[in-house]
Amino acid sequence: MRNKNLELLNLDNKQIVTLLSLNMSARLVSSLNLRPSTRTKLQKAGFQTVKDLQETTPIELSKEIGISNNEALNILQQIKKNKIRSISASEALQQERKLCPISTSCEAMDQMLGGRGVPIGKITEFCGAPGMGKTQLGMQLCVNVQIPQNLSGPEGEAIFIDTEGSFIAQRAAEIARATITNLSESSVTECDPSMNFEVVMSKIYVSKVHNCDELIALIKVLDEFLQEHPRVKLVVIDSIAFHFRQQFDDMALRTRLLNGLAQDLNKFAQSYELAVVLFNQMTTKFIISGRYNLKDQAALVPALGESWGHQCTNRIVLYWRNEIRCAQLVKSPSLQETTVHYQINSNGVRDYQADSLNGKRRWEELYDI
Amino acid sequence: MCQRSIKKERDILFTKEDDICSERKLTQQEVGELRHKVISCYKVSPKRGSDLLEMLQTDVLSTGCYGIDELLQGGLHPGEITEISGETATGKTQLAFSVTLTTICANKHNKVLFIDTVSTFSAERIRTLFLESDRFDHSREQGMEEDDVMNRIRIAKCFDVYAVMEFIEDMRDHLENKEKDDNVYTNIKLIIIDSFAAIFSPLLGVTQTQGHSLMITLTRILRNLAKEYNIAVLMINAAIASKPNNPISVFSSTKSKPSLGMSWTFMPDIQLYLTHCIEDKIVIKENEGENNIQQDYVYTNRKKIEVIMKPRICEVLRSRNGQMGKWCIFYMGGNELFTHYDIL
Repeated sequence: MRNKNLELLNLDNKQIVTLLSLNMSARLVSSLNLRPSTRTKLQKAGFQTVKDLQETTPIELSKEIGISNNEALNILQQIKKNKIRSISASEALQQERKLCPISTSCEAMDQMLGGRGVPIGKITEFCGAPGMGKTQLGMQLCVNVQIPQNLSGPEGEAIFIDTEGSFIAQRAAEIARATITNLSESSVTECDPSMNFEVVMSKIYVSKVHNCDELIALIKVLDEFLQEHPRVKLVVIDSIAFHFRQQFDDMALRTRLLNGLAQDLNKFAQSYELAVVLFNQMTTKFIISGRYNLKDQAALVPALGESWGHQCTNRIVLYWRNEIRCAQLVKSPSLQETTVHYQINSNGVRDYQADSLNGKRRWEELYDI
Repeated sequence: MCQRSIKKERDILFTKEDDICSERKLTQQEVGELRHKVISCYKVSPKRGSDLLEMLQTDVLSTGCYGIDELLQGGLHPGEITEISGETATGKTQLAFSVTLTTICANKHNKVLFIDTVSTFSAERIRTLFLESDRFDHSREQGMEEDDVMNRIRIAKCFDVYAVMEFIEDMRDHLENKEKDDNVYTNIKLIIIDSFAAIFSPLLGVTQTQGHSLMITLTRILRNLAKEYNIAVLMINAAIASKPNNPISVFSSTKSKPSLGMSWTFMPDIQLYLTHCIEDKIVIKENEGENNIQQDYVYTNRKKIEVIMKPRICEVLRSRNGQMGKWCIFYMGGNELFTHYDIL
């Protein structure tokens, strides 16, 4: 509690006690988002709770503790900010049901992800070794996010953040063409004029980033971009691991940067109601058993380590099994662990058909190996 | 009067009496009186141990899983901070959902606040659990309505530390001034933060003291709130790699530990750690005569559907009121979560 005058102490004890208890329950100044030096200045001047600050004006405050007017204004604005409201679970349920997930074009995978595809408002991570079709899946999602609402799609736009230089416009165009043809075949109505090939391509915003500084900078300014383009419903990063797997000596710093990145992405996902899809690479982990009766093992695990694994809401690992592409949901707060098959053909990501030859086998047959 | 060095009453306590006298030109007696007044404002009177014991006899919140309740001395204690940490996909959030619903179903008035920092909360999942899990069969039969259950769970989405603090302070404001509020927060029995690690991990580093101080401030605020309103606090923490193994764990094969570093370990009253039940762990424990551990367990629920349950290990890493190093195996799958004791 802060006394402007020591005369206050000449009040009787009871009054002081009530004053104290009033202020004890108010928010502490140390819980505000301030620079450490400013916080110390405030505390030295006797400002301990937010209530002490409420009576002052920015000019008074700046004079009293010796900070600039702007800083003082910033402090006082923080107090008057809009409060975060909590909602009840039934309201949350209604909100969740309103969101339209993004289909992957592979029904089995959509089922695995909760029925209709990649969920909005959450971070979904796909991990896989090279050649599993991560980029293909990313491009497919960029196209599918634009499916109009009358065909039960989200009718949005997409941002594709390309770190590996893997976004190939021709391939995206191929997928877009195939998807539009598919949609017009399946729908009873005439093909939606808004869903033509040029429009689809113009609604995919691709940004290529060349190092992790650029990636972090991009995420920091993504806020502005999203405000300008409110229809963006999907942010794809292919791949999150690429720049973070090199040139990092300080692993603690890397963890901190990555976690900050995830925090920002989570915030965007919630506040702009969009899906964040991250692609991650795999790495080999040696498991040394340290016991004579157990063998040392090597396992393929998602890159970026244990702490990164906590950051995404859903995690899917893509791998080959018996020459069939498999996708396994390994982490989800709301869905059961499952494994499904999928395939990638010239049209993009599709359901696995037992009779159709998968990529590897077709190659062999074509060239008669 | 107090333009220079003495601005707060604590300055009176901390400065030398002579200095105050000379600076303020007061007599020794006046300063003595002032000091006495300040001290009487700040002093904390002792309580009898027996009174404290009586205060402890409050409702303990069950986690909905007998084996885990056993480890927690009955469940989550009001006024205490319980931490659940564990590797990815070991069921931390599922356990939190289970506690949420068990608390809600225990009583028609209980409310739960879920602070979601990584978008893990899924209302659809909570609804499915309530409607389909065998555990809540009894409550459903007793006429608990889905709408009522859902309305008593509050969710706050906060994505950084300051948002969490702001929200908690706002909530305390509501709790204090009941008349102005529409009672959304009265009768809150449990606050869950999922995940605590996610909001602090961008701030914590060896050289960054600010993150640590924020962490301690937030915990202090939560603890005060918990004690004052008899609320149990459950924090979900992540895990990080620990090389070559985790010395606190009873399993020598545990290669991870709770995140947030050393200063955090002093904060919670009890720390549970969840790990995957991998084979070599089982081998070790079998050699020691424990052979009731099974791999995947097939459970037939009351609707006669078979669910494959995956085993997980839950152990107590630290505890202020229970035994350290105790552990149990629980099974997770579909809409169910149970330990061996629950089946027996």
